[in-house]
Amino acid sequence: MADFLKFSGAILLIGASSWLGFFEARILTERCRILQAWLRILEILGTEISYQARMLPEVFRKVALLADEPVFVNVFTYLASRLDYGTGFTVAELWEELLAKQSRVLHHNDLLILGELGNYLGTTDRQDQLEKLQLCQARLTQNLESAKDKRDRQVGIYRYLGFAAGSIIVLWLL
Amino acid sequence: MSREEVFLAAWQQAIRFLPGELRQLFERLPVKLQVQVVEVRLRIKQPLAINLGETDQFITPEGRLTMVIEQGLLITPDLILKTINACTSGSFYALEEEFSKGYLTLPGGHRLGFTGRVLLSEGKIRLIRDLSSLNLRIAKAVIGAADFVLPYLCEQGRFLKTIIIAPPGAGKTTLLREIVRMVSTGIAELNLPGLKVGVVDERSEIAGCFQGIPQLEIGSRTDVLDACPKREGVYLLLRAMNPDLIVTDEIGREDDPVLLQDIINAGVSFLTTAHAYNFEEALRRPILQAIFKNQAIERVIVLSNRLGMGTIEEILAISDGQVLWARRRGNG
Repeated sequence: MADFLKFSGAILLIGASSWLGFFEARILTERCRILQAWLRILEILGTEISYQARMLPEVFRKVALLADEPVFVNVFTYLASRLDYGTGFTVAELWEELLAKQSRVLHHNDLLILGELGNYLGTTDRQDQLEKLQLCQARLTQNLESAKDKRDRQVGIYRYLGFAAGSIIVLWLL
Repeated sequence: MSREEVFLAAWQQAIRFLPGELRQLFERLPVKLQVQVVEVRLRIKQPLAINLGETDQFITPEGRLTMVIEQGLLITPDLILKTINACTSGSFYALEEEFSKGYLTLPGGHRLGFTGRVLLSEGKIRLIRDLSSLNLRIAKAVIGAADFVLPYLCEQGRFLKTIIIAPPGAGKTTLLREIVRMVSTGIAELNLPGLKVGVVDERSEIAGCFQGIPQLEIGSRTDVLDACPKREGVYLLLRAMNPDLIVTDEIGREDDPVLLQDIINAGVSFLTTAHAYNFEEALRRPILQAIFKNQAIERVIVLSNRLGMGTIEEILAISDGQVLWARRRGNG
């Protein structure tokens, strides 16, 4: 009975630490995916704002339609409905709310760059909007490059470390 | 729907474009006042004011009316910003052109006028920023406003060339719009078939277009050129739309007599307005004098604010100098 319990505990410990390793590795991959999706969104925003001069609720609905990541479909549909006449919300408030939901995956610096854009979005003329969007795109592209680099280097390590750390603890406890 | 119900619906629609805190304040006003509001005015560091047609009053932070300036809710820069944000759905960039003209039209045909710091480019206003004053003007369609005057404006199935003269805020555009709606629809009692009406709406006031779509009822045979300069608009309509009647607002510029003559030469009737307190004052203006002398105008309607907005003072037949109808002085 005691051996069975030890065996079960060891499996549980190795399983949990491996899961942790896989979880961390997944976050690295997910950050790249989300940043990639954000770059696509910024591109759509640039086109719709600068060339089509559509109102933001309409632009957000278009983003929801074209966004690569399913998570953005609901988010931008919600944003569009909140920005319609008579709702009383500001773009900056809603943008902040949107970014708060992504704080698990995105890094502090990613959120800072996107947050800055939220303060300007919609409030200046078209030329200035385009410049702000392009600046944001450039900065996020840099972050994506370093995120990809980190992912390539660390995904394997995290997965291996999770399993290895679990095994070492089991051995130490035995 | 009664006139009060129409006005209340327009008011309730218009205050949707204000930030929540102002909206809540206005909702506390008695309904009989809500239907009377013509304009809402926000000026930085000044009390919140409403115009009720003939008087301006202030609104207290509790939502009561007052004539005492100090008791009015003080407008902050933040409140101005919030209002602009609410009126543009946060999309300043999409309304650049409107921000250079000093107003924007909202769904429902309501208008937000503003002043602030002007940025010039080649001597013309490029943009107004750092806004300091806002004026939300409620668009109210007054169904039936033209019923009384229309029999004087139609003859043998033809709409006579007409000018409406009135001081600012006396209901010129409201009457103009209602005439357009009726004439475009057709009036069986006057043997007037529905006419093809072309409207050159320089300031988006007649049809209240929002993103090119008329927000106010202007009839089913009406074509609108929104935010279009009068001269260019008239010639475009003559060339492209084959109208029976051309409608413009506020004539009085140097080239307007020629413009009206060109409309007449094309065999088209017109309906327009001019600023003046009465016919005598209008006659003293060289441009209007030239138009009247030329016998381009067949009918003149004079409006005032004497018994409330849209008071018809007189209807004149210019060709023979006849007064077709005149309101009695004094008790009206």
